[in-house]
Amino acid sequence: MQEIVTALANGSIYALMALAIGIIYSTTQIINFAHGSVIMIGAMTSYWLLSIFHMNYFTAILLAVLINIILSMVIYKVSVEKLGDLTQNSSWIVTLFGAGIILDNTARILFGTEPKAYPFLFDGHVISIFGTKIMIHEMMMILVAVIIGVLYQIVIQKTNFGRAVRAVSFRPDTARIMGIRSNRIVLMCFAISGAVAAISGALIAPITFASYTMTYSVGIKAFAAALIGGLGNTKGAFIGGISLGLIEGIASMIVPGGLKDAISFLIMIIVIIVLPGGILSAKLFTKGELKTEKI
Amino acid sequence: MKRKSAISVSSIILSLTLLFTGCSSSDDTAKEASSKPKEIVIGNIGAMTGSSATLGKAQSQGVDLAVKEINADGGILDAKVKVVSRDDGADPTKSKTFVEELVDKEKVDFMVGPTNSTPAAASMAYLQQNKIVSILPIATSTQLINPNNPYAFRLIASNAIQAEAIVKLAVEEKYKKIVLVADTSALGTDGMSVMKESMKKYGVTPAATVTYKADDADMTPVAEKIKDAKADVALFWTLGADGAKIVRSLERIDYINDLDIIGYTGLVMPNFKELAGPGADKVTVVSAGSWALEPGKTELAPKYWEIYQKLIAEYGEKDKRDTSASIIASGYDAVYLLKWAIEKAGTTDSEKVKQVLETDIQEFDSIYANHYEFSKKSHEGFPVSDLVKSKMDDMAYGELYKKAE
Repeated sequence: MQEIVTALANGSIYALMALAIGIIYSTTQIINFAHGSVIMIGAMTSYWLLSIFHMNYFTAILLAVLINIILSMVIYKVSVEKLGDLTQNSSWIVTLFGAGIILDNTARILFGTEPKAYPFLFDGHVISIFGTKIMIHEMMMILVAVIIGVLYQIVIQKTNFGRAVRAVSFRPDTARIMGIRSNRIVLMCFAISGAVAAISGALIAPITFASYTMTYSVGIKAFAAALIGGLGNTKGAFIGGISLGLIEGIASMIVPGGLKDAISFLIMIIVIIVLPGGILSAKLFTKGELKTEKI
Repeated sequence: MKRKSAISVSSIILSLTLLFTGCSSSDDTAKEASSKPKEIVIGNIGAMTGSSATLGKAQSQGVDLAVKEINADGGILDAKVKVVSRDDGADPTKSKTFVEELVDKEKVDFMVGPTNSTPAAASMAYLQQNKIVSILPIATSTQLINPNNPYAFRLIASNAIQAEAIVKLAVEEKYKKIVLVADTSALGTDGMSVMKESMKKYGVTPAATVTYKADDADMTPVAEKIKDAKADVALFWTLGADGAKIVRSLERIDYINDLDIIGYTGLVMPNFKELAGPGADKVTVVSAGSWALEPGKTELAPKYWEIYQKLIAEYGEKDKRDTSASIIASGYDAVYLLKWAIEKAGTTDSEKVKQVLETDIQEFDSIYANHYEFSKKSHEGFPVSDLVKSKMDDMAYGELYKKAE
């Protein structure tokens, strides 16, 4: 029970991170390599607001979300927009990696190298369910991830903005001819991704501790989760994240801790080889669907 | 044609004669310089920037203070001491390049450092080839001191010595189920291996050995394995942040109260208690006994307290510096150890200095460890008996351990 809840909680964070990566990929076909650093900035900012200004948890996270939205928009403007047609060049790999390194170094200078103890939600209170002690924070990680995932699907399926995102994702040129300002839609996607990153950061920081290196090990797993679920497919990001969390949980029970990642990535490679478009590209899930339906 | 050949042969003979004469004359000068040196150059190398910066800075502070005092007191064998420092940033490639530069260009006579084990391993061969007596005040990797490195001497407790100390504590305190915990890095693998060897030496079998990837985000599986083994003590060969994460996870799965934790020195970090939470109370570490306060005391033994006051006078109280007093003391002791050995040998000649360190070390009045135990067989100086169990959560003056009762 305890192992399952922990695996689901970790999987939820991978899912949130993969979702943020997928949001950007679906409209730009690029992978935001600075995403781990944006999560870290979100966590460090909220930690700073909590510990220095003694703000309450939710105000601190709200402000961190706003700062991350601005930061992500700046990253888009500086590192992506100027590059022109992203399908014709790969410069974004360098610019986004570069943006991540700049953020990491800036955080190291601003916040120092020592990891910081980030508070758990509800003061780390533990409840007993069927004799198993479970931290409320872990349950909140799962709940928040599900709420964000459902909200995102509602926005994508039911709002004009969502339709525009789907149009840009499906046929960017046609969308532009139809009067949709693709650049603005992509900018909004970067902003949403930044907001999700701030929340992911606040949820994971109590476990990893807040530091400028806090996402080094989980960042790569977010990319793995996105690939397992299907890159650009936001429902798949959730399936990928949760699957990865469960795989890790099971692997860590069977093999020595040092081999856990090797097992997880081996499974990722197998999934990519067998289903290049991720789990949700399997025929079982794709009957009669257009690409836009998969977002 | 014959005449030309004769001239060529004569020229070669003349050149060789001059060359050998020159060599022999410069050799004599070198010998004279080593018994009456005009200047003694000590290389000081370590990580002064990056994540291990506090180690390199502490070593440098110790070295600089000792050299300042020695020069004010007339130097060594009437020669001034010069320190040439380099920051390798804990990068083995940089470290090796700097060591080559210090040996070839700066002509160092002795070396202190490198501070980190991997850079030290990378630079060691060159120092040995050039017969440079090197003092390691901080690097702990077991393999650094071996017969292939005959000019290297270590002051700090090596991984093997620390492993023996923590296993000895667990056995003496009659814990029944001992679990060994280490990460899968080179440092952790070395730690796990030396802990297992020590367990064998004491005839005890671990209830479980648990490994994990360093800096892993979630340490719950590690905590679960400790719990599954029903351990009453866990020996932690982990770095501070990872150790704190494991303590937090043990708390999450409600097992921390059933367990004691004894860690090696790498577990120590300034905000461990803040990171580990209330579970930090269950953690003790081994530390240099001379630099730990006896229960209820507010001062170290007089000799060490005097040095501590000197370090504070030079570099300020703990809140004014990011370096640790005991590590500064180790760097400081490295220079005084060289001074003593050179004066005892009456020369800077490596062989003679090495011999003094191997045979007469009991005469040296050390200020880091209680005494050093070098011999012809072993260049490990730190005695196992000088490692004591100290509290992790309660430090005096922000940096001095208190011995656990």
